Amino acid sequence: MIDTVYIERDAIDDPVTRSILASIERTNSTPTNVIEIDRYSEVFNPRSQNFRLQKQKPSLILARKHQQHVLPTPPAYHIGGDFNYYFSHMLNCIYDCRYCFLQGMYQSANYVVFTNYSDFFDQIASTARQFDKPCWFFSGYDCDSLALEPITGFMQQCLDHFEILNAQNDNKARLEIRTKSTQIRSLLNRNPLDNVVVAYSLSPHSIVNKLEHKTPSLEKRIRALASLQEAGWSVGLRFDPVIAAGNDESLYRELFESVFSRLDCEKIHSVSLGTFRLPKSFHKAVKQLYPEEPLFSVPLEQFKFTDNGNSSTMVGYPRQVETRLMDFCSQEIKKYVDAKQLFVCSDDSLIPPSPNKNTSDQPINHSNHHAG
Amino acid sequence: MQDATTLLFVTALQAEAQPLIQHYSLKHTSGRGFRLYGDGTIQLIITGIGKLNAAAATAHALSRLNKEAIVMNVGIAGSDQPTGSMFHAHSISDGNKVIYPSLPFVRKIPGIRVETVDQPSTAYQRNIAYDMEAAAVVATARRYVSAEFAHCLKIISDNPDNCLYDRDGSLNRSLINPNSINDLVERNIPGITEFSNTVQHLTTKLPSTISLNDDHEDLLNTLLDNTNTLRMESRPGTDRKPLHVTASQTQQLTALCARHSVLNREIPSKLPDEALANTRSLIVFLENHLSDAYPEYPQHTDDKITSKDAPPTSDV
Repeated sequence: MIDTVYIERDAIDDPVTRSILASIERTNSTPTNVIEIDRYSEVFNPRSQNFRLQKQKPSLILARKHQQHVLPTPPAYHIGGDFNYYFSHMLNCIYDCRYCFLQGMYQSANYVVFTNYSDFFDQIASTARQFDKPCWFFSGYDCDSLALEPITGFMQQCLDHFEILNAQNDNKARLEIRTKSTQIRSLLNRNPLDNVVVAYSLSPHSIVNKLEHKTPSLEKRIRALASLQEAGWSVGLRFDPVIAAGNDESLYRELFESVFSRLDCEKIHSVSLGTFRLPKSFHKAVKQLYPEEPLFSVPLEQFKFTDNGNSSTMVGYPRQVETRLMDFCSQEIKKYVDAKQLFVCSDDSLIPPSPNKNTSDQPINHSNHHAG
Repeated sequence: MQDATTLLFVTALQAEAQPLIQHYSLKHTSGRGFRLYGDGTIQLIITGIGKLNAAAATAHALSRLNKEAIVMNVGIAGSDQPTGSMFHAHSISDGNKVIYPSLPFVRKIPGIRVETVDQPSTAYQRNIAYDMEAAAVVATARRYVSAEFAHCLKIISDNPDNCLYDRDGSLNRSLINPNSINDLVERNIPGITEFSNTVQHLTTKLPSTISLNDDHEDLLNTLLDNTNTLRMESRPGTDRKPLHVTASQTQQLTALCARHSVLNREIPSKLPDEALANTRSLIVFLENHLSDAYPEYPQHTDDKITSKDAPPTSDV
């Protein structure tokens, strides 16, 4: 599956590195090409790489993350908590969703996995300790939380960590695992944790087929949700991005019906909703990669967003289209769940800040929706 | 799919080039500064020895092309590996700077790190090949083509058992001579062509931007011709002039033609009067014409239908 693995020299001796390499070797029929590098940015960041071509067969980069393991989410990105952070143990995703902002954000489609997992967990714990109210940590922002779990084993360790935090009465850390993956065996094999929500990104069946390439089908995701809920896990539903279509209302009505009819609606932790939008520069890059894709040629408008003095331009559906979609979906969803379970990401204030180009680590920028 | 992409071989020496020239039946083409050979979509340039020559020749060859290209540096190198074996450069260093060619395909040729040096080297460190051009060729090529299309194949000409220099310090001419170099490359032609084909196959994964652009240009020309005809017909007997279209408006109109094409929405042949007044009004009309052009996605009718899952992601 992965033929070429680049490894930072500092990460070569990490147990996680050895474990990941062993997993890859087990699945590969031919020897894996292992290439030593100094810093992952040497392979990941250079310009003149073609994301679309690399997506044909991405390589894996194993690296150590040295700073900013945990970052605050965009201002109003939350599911009811006052303090919200995200973290990414991995950059890029094994799926190939055409609307994904990662295509426009990164030069490379290669996967980066940061092998110093414990540094993430330490920073999560220290961040949560700062607050006396629940503090949410969102996983799956720059990747899918579970899709590569059989190889990385990250989430298994992360859940161990949150289990320990859960046992500490004064700790308010909460985790959202955002995913489209049905790799849930590791979750079903353990007791559910009441400080963890497993949240699935969901789209109508035909939009999954057209735009969410290489992902598990809607039916499989619903089955996974039902299994998790049955096993006692708290689940969330993420209808984000909602895609405008000539027949969007019937598509989404059908989606909501098929999802909510299979779940215990009262036990759903949260439902979030947001329309398709991208930072202007990402939209330009993605449109160049996929000039034949209708998603980027439909009527879209630019609008300015200012956050903490930083101004950036976003591209999204015209206001009346966005309002219609959000109103329709909200009304439909409220037929199944209580209004206080629903979080709508449609206000301009939800748009995240522009890229922080000063950091020596990964670029920081996001659409309003997770990659996962 | 990309329109016929040029495959450009870059070699330092005539002896390295000769087997490729023969294999692809390339013909000498006129040109100043460097020896160039070609036949349709296969081109070859001989750079001469060293980084400066290599960079200049690569830039020269790529500047002559007005379409996408794959750049393949083929040549000999010293290493600790067996002579005659061929390697793909998975990393190419020039001092502290390292370039990593992008590998979104299965590579059958083993990889090696290539160090591009200023003088022939007999360091023969483990798993390193020493050459004198690769870093310059690939770094220059990446100014013109994406990282997936700039590669380097090195054939081992000398190693600790077959050293580049004799004991008296003179070049080992029995080892390194035009015939032996020619022979080394010739024996690796199957590997070179297979690797080149693999990289060329990647271009099938890209949209044909050239034909797309041509299509959109055709659409634009048809639109402008039609608009100007309608303008004349709408006021017969007057000397109404053709639309004045600025460079920026040409870009906007081309983009609108492209969007109509992508969204399968035909530009009406009978444009309303308000679209004919001037170029700005034509642009506004075309934008409005797409205002509801959101594609329809088929309704889901069968719960059993599932999209294919990417292995090994599914365990439910």
